[in-house]
Amino acid sequence: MTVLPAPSEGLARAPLLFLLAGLFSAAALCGKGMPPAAAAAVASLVCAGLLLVSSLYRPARFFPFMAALSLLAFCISLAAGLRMNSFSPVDGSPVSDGGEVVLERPWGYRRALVVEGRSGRYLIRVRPYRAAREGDLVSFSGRAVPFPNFSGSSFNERLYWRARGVDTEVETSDIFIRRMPVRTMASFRTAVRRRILLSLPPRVRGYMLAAVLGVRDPELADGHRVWGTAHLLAVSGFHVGLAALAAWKLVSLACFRRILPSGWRVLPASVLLWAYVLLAGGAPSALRAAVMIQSVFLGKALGRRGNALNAVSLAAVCLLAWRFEWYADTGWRLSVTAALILAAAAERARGWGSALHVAPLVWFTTYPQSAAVFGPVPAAGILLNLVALPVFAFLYPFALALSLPALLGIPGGYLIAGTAEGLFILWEKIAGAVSALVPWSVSWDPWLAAAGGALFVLYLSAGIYPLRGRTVAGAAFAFLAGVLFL
Amino acid sequence: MKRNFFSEPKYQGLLFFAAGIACFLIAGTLVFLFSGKFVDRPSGAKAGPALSLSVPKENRDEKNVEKTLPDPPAPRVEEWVLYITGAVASPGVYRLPPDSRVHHLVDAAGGLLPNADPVQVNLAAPLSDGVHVHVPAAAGVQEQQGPPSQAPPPPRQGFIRPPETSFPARSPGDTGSPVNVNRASLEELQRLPGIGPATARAILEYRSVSGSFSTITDLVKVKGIGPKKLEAIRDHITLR
Repeated sequence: MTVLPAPSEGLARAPLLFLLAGLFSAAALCGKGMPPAAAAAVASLVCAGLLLVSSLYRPARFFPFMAALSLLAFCISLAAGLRMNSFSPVDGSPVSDGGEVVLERPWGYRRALVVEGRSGRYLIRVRPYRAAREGDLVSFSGRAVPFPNFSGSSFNERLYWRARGVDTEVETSDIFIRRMPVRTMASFRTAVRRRILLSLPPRVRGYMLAAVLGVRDPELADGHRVWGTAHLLAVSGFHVGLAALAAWKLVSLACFRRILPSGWRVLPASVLLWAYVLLAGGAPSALRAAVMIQSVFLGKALGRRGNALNAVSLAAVCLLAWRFEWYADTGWRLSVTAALILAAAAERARGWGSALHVAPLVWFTTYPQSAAVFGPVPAAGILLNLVALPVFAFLYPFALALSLPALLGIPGGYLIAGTAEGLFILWEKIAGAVSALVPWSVSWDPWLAAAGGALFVLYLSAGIYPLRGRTVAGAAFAFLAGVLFL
Repeated sequence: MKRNFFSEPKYQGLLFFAAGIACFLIAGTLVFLFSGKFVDRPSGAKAGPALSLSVPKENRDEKNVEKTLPDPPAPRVEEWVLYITGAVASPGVYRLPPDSRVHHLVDAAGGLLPNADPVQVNLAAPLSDGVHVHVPAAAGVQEQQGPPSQAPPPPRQGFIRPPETSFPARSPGDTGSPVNVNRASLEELQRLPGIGPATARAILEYRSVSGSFSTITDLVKVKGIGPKKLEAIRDHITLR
């Protein structure tokens, strides 16, 4: 075999992107009931197939690396698939246990509680007036019931809760809730939530709840849904990136520089980063972003410049290897899709041109999933997202700084936070005006969705290969395989 | 020198492209072959007992369930949270050491006002965590002073209202108190998440027309409050 002098492309630039494609295929197939061994074989074939059809030039040791990646895809898929399928539905078995509420969220007309019990993690649905808060202790007895299955819906509730580590749902006959003082992260989140709710003006508290705790204020969420900027209210790579940047700036202050050498500064920055992610509730998109940034930190400590696409892929691979069920989480999928597009854009070009085309591109490539799950997607989002990220990159830290006096109980703090309230009102006015200019929403359309999917695959390919015939052909086959297999 | 067909870079590229397609075809065949196994539930339904049900044997005896379950340890209350209204200098919520008495709370609230009626409240009475103490004004001056907006309807006598539950109304990590939707003012209602001026006004109008809310779910009858909003605020409201 002739090994050509290959430029740094494809396998040499982002090997984990191919592994991610294989794992995602296997996860989706396992979720549909395919045996783990067969799904793992498909994962390795997809991984190898993508590499072979896309690579016009093959760098040195192409085949050993390809074989290693395919084997890795097989092993991870098999292990994760077996673990995913080892879960067995339950039917009416009595359960009595107790533990801390680690997650509490609205669920239809009820509240969903995830309880970390002694014998497992349980889901309990309670009426709103009986709900516990995160950090409360709950004792309960009842019977285990299978997760509901909504026929005709793309939402799989079993996978949603399994991704959050829930073993079974319990229909309680008796439940006892005990409020506890702050002693764990969950109860600390509740305390911070109360403090934010009771100390800040309406908009500031909504945005602070979203940025600090990952809790959505319903009124703000309605507005952002209309503007197509709902992602700003979910803790994602944007928020985690801001937190990481703040952490890095903090540990790079002159006083810390004297104490810590450059490589070691990564350690406190990483601690701050993960502390923020845990405080924000450990949402899948936040975890994905944190793993990605952690890999960048490690690269910095080791003196290696990372590849953005590889870092995003690494984060996604880690989460899938941990729990295959994440693939079914819409928030996680949208987060990975957007992050991959942003990373590919960063690989291809920098500057204003890149910044201007990325927002419409992210809108278009996330449209198939958004429209299928959440309904019509506002077209105003294309325009507003051009400015939303830079605006909120300023507004979030600014509002947090102005909120601190009120949160700390300093007299006059509420008035200081009012400045940020004014800026958020200004943003609302501008966003409202733009959405009035572009009042249309785009419903799910198979052709438009197909175009969005094809553009996604093509843009990713162009992020690691030069745009040439082979790249387009490889992307076309990858897209076709995705449509046919999944 | 004669070159092998496959050593030509052009043909080699095509060969590997074909190999890639072959990989996809085999993968597609696998998907097709196992398509009959596709069900909308986990395929390993008989893989073993659910992890969640591995309750220790001694706990399975239903009679012993309550005994064997670890009752969560009671929170150690290091200070009491107490509420005082009426004719004191600064009505409000105060934190006092356990075993405090009413006069301690009155002192914390800045002392009795000149119009207070000390006869109607027992200043030596013991308190307990979460109680509400009301100090009435002397007859004749009650109307002029008026209770604070969050105070209950003026009783004829001072009272000590016990806490609503056996648990502390607030843990030491908490701040602020729940908003009483039956008595809160327009401004207080707007401190609730998702409640703006319009919805707060709607709550006040509902109260004036239909009276107090008897249950929290009655709030959905107010224009502008749906189930979602109710869920967002239900942690932060109280009816009594």
